[in-house]
Amino acid sequence: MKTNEKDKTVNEREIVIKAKKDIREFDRLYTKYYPRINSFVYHRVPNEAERNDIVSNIFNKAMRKLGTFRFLDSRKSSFSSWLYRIAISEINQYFRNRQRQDRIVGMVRHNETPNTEDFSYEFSYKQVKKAMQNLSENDQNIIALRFFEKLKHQEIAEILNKKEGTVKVRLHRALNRLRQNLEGGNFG
Amino acid sequence: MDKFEEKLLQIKVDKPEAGQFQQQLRRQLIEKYVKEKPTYQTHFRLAFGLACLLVFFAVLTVADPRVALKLNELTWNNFQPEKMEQRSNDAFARELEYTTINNPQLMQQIDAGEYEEEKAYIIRKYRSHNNKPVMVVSEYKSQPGSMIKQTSGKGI
Repeated sequence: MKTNEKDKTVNEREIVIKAKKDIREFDRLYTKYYPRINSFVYHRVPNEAERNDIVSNIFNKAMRKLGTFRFLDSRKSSFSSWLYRIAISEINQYFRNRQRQDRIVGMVRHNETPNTEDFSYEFSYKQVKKAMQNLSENDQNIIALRFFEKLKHQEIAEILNKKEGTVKVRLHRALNRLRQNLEGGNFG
Repeated sequence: MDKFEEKLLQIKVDKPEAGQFQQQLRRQLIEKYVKEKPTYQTHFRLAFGLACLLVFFAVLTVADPRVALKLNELTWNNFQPEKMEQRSNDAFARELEYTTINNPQLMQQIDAGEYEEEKAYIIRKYRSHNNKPVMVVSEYKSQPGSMIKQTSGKGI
């Protein structure tokens, strides 16, 4: 199993090196990673037009900056992590640009009556996403990576450039906040 | 891992529909980064071409300085071939000094108008206390080996 993963890494490394020399090779990386990146952005930005814009920006940035990507350590810096980092950066930028609008929406939400729908401990994806809206950008990113993209702690640590232990602590705190939102029905 | 975390891992996550945007974006990226040559490549080729041109002119100037003169005069729009010829003659005149030969006998025998200068020669006269002088005729700008042609020998 480990050998297969190593082979994949080596193969990916070769593709990236080829793509650095000839940008046409990037097509293989695009085909491989588009669904994953699109899915990750989908969990954060449901609106299709906005999501397409963000995904487009991510791949444009990746192609422009491919020359700056370095394999410092094959275990710590993979191409997918680098791409996820760009995705997180673009998503955060998107939310920063919409910060003012969000603030207004937040004020409106504050005045709305709380969700009266009975909340059972069984929850759906949509409920979780709604409950996530009140969390910070970092919490939303870490939850999306862990529970929607189903990435391991180690992979998330690589993407966020943090230690695995730090990621676990952050995830634990984010989950506590998410749980409170879900239990309190504070996601309307 | 607590139950809450387990449940989160088990929830059925929605996936974005496989739309046409993937192919659309792919085409856009190909148009932008593959079909169009990157700007830095164009700049690099332009700079390389200019550098080659400069090196060519530098080599040419060293090989034949008259090229530099021609270029200079062409650039400043005052190209005058005769002026260049004059300069060349001036340079020649600095090295040599013409002498006048007054030989009425010879002037009667030849018509000077029929003759054009064909080649320049240098005549060197060597003296010796013991022997008679020696005159050595050399072709101007000839190879060193064939330069000296002793035409008169001793006693001329």
